[in-house]
Amino acid sequence: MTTLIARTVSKACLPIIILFSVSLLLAGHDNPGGGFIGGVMFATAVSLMYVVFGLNYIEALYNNNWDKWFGIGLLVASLTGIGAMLFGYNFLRSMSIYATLPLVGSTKIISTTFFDIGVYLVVIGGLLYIFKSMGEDK
Amino acid sequence: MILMEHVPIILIALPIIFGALTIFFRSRSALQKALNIGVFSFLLLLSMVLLFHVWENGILVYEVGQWGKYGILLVADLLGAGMVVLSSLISLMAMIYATDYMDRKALDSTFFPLFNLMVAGLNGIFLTGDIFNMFVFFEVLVLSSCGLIVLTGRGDHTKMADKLEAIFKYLILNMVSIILMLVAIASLYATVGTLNMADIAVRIAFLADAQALPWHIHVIAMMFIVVFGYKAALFPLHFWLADVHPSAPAPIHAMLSGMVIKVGVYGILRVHYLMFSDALFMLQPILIFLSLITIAVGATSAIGQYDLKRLLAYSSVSQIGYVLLGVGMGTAYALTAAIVYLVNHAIAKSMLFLATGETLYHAGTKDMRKMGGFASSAPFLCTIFLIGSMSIAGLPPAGGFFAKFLLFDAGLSAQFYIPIAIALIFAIFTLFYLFRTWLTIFWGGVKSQKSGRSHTRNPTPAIKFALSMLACVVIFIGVYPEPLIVLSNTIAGQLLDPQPYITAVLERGVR
Amino acid sequence: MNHMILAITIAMLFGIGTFMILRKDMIRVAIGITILSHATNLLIVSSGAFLGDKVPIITDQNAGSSSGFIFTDDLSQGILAPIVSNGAQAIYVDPLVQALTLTAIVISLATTAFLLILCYRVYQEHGTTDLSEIRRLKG
Repeated sequence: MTTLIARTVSKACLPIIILFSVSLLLAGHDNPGGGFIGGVMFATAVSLMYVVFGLNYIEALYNNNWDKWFGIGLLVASLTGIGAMLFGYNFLRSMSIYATLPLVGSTKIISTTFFDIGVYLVVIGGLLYIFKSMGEDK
Repeated sequence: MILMEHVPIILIALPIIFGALTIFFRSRSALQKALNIGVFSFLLLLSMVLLFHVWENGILVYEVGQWGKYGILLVADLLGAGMVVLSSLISLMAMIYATDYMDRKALDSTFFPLFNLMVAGLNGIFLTGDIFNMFVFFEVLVLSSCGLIVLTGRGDHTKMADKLEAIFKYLILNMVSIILMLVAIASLYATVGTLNMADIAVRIAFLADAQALPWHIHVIAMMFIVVFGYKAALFPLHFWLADVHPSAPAPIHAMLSGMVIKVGVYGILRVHYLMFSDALFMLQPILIFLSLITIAVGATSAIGQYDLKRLLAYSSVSQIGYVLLGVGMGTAYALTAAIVYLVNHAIAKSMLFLATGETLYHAGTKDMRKMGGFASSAPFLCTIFLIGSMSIAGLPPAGGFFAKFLLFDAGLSAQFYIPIAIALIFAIFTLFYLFRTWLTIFWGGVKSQKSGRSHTRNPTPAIKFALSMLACVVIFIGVYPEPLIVLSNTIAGQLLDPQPYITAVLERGVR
Repeated sequence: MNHMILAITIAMLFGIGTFMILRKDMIRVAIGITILSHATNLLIVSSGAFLGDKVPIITDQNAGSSSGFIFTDDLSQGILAPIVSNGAQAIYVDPLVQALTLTAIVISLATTAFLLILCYRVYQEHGTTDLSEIRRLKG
């Protein structure tokens, strides 16, 4: 069984890793990062919890069908491409606008981000579905 | 016609979107069946529209993401669009068939998403104009077909352990060939500095004109022969097919043997005739030699088989040899014949495999020696099987007659006497093993030791519909082959003179 | 010098990978495939231009200084590796090979995951990971 140190540290680490993965996701379009790396990092964080606390304990807290995430991600990513077609451009044509958001200020909103979000969800869903279904097997 | 431009990407994106959607509708079988049949009919319609458009207006080039020629281009020329029509037809029929054939458990879990992704992979391979993108779609195709082989249907007598073993072989060998393809792509990129196939063709032609063609271009061309030969089950690389294909359930078996091994032929036609036309003179004798051995090995292996699916799988190996023989001979007439042969074999063989699945369900065993006298209990399957066998063996009025006739005529007019003689001998072998199979299964006395798993129930309407549609197409090709021959002839002309393709891609692509 | 080390590394990885996929144990075959795909990734990276030393990322800060040779492609002036015309000096490393490698890594992640699960399932069904004992399909 895992030690108290491992439990405490992984509990403290979980939000940090997830936040970092989201920041990687949102930086992905013109800086190092992206949906794949962020998704792998998120999956690592959750699988760390699975390893440290055990599958049953985590499932009692929060039971999730990760394959749904996969489907949503695939849908978001491909609909981003279709979305460009609705504006009269080619599939997956990316465009960016500068918008002023509340709290954040002037931000560059780029359509690639939505594609990245789709990839992020696909990677999370795929990896965690594998972890979970293999881990359940006795 | 602004919408017309988007058809190539819709053919790829739509199956992916529906692959994602079907994950959410898992438990609702009836909805899924209707939805998927609808989508695949739409894809067939769309691909035919695309083929007519390309026939009327020339090559259609689509820039994904509008990056010019530095991005990924989808190029729908006649060969690509024709292959998409073929794959859409076969996948629609396989889908209609599968809705009644596959187990409920398979339909409710992974069948529909994976089948959709597989079709997306096929369409992507046929439409892409970028060599690296072709690799990506190969990988999509391989992984989704691996997932599909595990599923079970009602006429499927393969144990799970055997299926897993088959997939392990398939995946490992595919990974090795994919790695070889990546090495070839990397070397090609280091040599010419682009991944766009038309651009590569221009640069290699430029190097060849300047008498500066590096020797390793030939090595790269050979590597691509190995990669695509692996996909198409060319002789030294054919051994996996007889293990992997029979382990799949019938609709997937039809897709694998009907379309997926044709991907290798398509690859050779596209890559070698477009890019390596200066290195072809070295490869053509090798291709002819290997395809003759493939014909011989496939036919002789099929003769000794009693396992029905395995026999037909070896028959696929043998028939793909005929297609590659036409590809290897390389004259316009021979390429026409090869394409006609490819189309006919794809349709007839997938029909035969679909009929086989139903026959095995009817028989309850996969050993041919235990079957017999099904002509009275299953007359429909008997007819379908006869049409398929006639087409593969090359008897009129089925489509195979024209395919074989054109191929042999092309070989004789190009003075390949010895290869054609060998091919002719093994064509008689084909006739022998197919009709021996047909006579054993459907004629003769009813065998008494029927196992307990046999079913006398007739095929369901969906299965009958799929089989008879494919049979109609086979007969149509046999009775009225002119449109197909004219189309193939034009495709062969385009393959031998790729200038329109290059012009269409580069003039649009350069900004 | 660096090129030589890189070449030797790639060659050794290919050698090790080929050796591993010829072993009898299923897991070793999977490891061999993984090593082979890493070797291929290194090969792809090595096929890019090594002339430049800048990172090929154009952000707002250095967008002004980042114009230049990337989109010059003139066949009549000769052919040199990636999209750089003859004589022009590339100050950036080739970004395309990095994209290709990333794609190849993602794909090899998917196939490796699939392969390992497949090994596990084969072990469950057959009770062994020795490939010489798993040969029911023949005939």
